[in-house]
Amino acid sequence: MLTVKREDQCRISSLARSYGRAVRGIGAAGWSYGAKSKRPIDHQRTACRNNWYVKQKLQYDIEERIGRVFKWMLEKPDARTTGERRGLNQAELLRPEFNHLVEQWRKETRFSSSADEKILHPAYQSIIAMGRSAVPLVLEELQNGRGHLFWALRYMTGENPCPDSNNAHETREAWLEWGRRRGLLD
Amino acid sequence: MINAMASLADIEAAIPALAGTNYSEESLATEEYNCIAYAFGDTKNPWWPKEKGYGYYWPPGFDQDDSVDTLKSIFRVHGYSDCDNKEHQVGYEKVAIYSRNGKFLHAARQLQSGRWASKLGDEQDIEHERVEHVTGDAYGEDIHVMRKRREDWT
Repeated sequence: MLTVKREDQCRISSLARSYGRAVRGIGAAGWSYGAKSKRPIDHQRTACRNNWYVKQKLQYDIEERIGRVFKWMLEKPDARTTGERRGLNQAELLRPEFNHLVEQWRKETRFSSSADEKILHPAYQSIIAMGRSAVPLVLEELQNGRGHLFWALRYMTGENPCPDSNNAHETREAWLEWGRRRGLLD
Repeated sequence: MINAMASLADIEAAIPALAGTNYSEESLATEEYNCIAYAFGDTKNPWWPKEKGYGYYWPPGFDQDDSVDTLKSIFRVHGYSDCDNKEHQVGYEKVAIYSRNGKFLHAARQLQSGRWASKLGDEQDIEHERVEHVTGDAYGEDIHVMRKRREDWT
């Protein structure tokens, strides 16, 4: 026979009460004690409870939550930058692995001129697989003057700020400017 | 960007044919150009058949493939023609294309002195005595030589 502990019983009762409130919906009359109740209905308190309920429901409504994020981003011009700055912290966590991959890749392709050999190297592919969180680290490499990373940036970000250029210097500057605009570089 | 240079031991480990030959380092290591660019005399961009936007230069109008034929057609536009002779010929500037399975991997250019100038990937430029001295696993065994007349070298 299934036995339910006393604290679980309390939790279940509490959940049931919450569920009951929820199914009554936003437009419900509130905690009316009903016609059988001898207590008079305090309409002010009922309205207050209804407001509380609406606020609570909105707080957990997914569409409302998404709407609040967009509103916050529109109201704060630097919100996007601030959000992406969190990416910098993630990048710091990835730094040891990134440094290891870059070192391995450079060491094993340093005598090759072939762009294909560099791009298809497993370590280079692993850098791409690190995704957007590692973009600040790749930009740092570019800022330090290292080359051959535009291909990785293109696939890590889904963007290409200099699509019509075949000049290495121009492409580098375009990516560095792209990084600065997003607060990913000093 | 000037990088930490490869040591002679590193160079000879990558290109064993250079060991024991009279080669010399001629520049610091840099990623700003590669061997193909250097063979054409460009020290501003690495050359490789890649689409625009990735930091590689490739002459417009040529196929985006790494076949020896494509590279030869670019050298032809620059005045070179096919040549069977790998030796030094006074009054001619020669280039060598190194390949494997019909795909180019390296290029070198002959200097007026008869020595060959090669840019080793992202590492330094070197001068080597003979065209065969950079063949091997890294750059392939096949060599295609082209030449053009240099009136000022006679």
